[in-house]
Amino acid sequence: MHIITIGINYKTAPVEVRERVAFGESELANAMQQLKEEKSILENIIVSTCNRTEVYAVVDQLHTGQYYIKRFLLNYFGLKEDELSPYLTIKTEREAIQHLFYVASGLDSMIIGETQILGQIKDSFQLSQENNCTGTIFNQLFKQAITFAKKVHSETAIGENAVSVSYAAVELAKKIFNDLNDCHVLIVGAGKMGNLALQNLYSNGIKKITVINRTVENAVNLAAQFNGVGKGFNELEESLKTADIVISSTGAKEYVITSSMINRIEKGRKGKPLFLVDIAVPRDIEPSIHKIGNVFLYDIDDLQGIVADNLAEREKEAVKIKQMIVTEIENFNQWVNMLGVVPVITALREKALSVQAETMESIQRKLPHLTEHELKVLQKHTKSIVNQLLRDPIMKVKEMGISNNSGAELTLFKEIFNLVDEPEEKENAQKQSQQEWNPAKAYLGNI
Amino acid sequence: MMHLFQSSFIYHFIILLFVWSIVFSFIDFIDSNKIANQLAFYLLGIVWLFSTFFICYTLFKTGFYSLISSGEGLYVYVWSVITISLIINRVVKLDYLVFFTNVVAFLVFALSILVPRVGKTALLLNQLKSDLLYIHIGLAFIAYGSFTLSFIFSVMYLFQYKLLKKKKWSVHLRKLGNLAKLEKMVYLCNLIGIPFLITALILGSIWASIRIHSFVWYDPKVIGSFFVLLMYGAFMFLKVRNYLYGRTLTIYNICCFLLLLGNYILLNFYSSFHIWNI
Repeated sequence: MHIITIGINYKTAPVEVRERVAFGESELANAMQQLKEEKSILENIIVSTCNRTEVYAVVDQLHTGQYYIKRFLLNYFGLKEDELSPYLTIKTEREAIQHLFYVASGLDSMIIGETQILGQIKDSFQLSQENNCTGTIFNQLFKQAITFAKKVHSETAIGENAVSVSYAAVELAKKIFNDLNDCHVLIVGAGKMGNLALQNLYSNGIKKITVINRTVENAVNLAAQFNGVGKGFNELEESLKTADIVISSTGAKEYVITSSMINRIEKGRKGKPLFLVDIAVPRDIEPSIHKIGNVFLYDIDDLQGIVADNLAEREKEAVKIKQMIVTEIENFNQWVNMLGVVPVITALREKALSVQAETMESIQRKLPHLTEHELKVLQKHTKSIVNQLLRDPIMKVKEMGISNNSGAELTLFKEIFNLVDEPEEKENAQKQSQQEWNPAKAYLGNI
Repeated sequence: MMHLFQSSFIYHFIILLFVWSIVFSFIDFIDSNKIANQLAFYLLGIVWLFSTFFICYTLFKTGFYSLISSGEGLYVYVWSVITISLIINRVVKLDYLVFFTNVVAFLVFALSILVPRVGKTALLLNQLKSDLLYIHIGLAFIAYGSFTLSFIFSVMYLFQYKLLKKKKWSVHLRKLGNLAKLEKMVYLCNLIGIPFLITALILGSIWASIRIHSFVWYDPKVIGSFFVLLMYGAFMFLKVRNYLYGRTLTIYNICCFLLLLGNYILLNFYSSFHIWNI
């Protein structure tokens, strides 16, 4: 068996290609069913978002599987070879597993550490399970990747810091005020930027809103959308007296909020904190205002600086997570290896117990006068001998399962104990369709 | 009691745990390490358990008076600070509270070891046997503990204020509580401390006027204590009437606490009736 991932993402393909190679939410189940019917494909999960379309598959033959997945994508989207192939990324085995962990943890995302992709992978996995497109391998691998991603999001700082300017402004406000719901927000400038800022703050629970604009009508119109009050510029200073958060984004060439203005209102504010965000270029708020006590002024560069610092912090966390992923991959490989050991252990136990059963029958034949109690004692002790004899070989065979040369060692082990598959079993195995593929046997055959 | 502590293995063990708690909370402070944060908290919890055991043991074995000399008093004061901080940390999760509490508490703890112990005479012991005095001291410890926590929150406020002014989105800025919350905690701790201080002062004055013949109302300790109360009272007035906010209010609170410390440590030298502290 082989694990493979084929797809495109924002790093390899421009948006023109990505929009042509995207599965709609309603199409996904059908697409996975169709892919399941393709030759060589044993398990499959398709993840399709605005930034990536990726097929994860377990295939019995690497090149055949790769060929059929590629052909499936070309046919499904009606593309020619040269329209898709240059943008395709193909990863196999360890690389493919690693890629899944990176994607699930948000390390491969455009905004590193984002959590949306985890939900999308989870949904695709569930959908694939519901449509019987997953099997032993993906049920384990995807569960492990999802659990791991949840763990890193809760235990590391990968998603903790604001990585957009608007989010950084809201986060800063939360470091000054306890409850944004109680804050009075003053928006200076009713343009596009003011509207966007207001939307962001409104979604964060802010209720008391005042919009100030040169054209009062525009201020009133914008404020009305958010149950706020619209005012003209002549009321700016008066509004500043009660404001907690001010976001300014006018097109003015000179400062709209000056240091003298803030100094005048500060006495009345009695040291109440004032958070000013200047997202206008040229700036609306005089920079020296930041020096006034209990006043915090952040301009667009400050916010972008915070975002850059936070991204750098996330990159640092990503390095730690990548190291953790190495261990996760090892764990997964160990689990896969153990799959091959389980049937060997079962066969060994069955063989030993059948010898014990035969011995007991022989004893009963030769000593027919034994009482029931005596037979029970004998049964118990012979089983105990079997168990004690098997303890070490079972331990050893488990170790063999995770060794580098496990295939050869397991074959030798089977030969020593003469653990040959029953002819009937062999026949059944041959009858098994590809969909009923046994990963343990496939794995043993593969190594 | 301290002799009992100092000679015992467990006393040294407590110091060791305290140091490790500081080390871990410092690691968390510098590196934002969750495991170190947890360890610091649990170690402080163990320190509190052992201290509680020792205080109870001493009360049971040697009586209340053994807790009220300078050294022992500071020990009980540390205990009350740790107790209040653990309760606050449990109720309102605030990062770095353990670290700041650790630093302040350990400084006082170290001071309690350095302060010399003087044996108490039979006459003094007789004078100290009073329920009023016991209640006065107990209430004063709670008040001092609350004011210390209020001071710690003020320091945290100023630290956060400075970070916001520096415009640096650091781990500290992210982990420290918001300014409004820290200011609220300053206010709440004072709100708890003031009634305890008022009652402690009233009961202490009554006890002194009954038991200490040399007691005078213009004693520096009395004037100092009532001045501290007045300062904290003014804090509440300014806060409740919204005359002061934020940084100014927290700086004022730090001044109040420094005054409280001065009253506790310095004025004892000039007082004629805080005799157990001599």
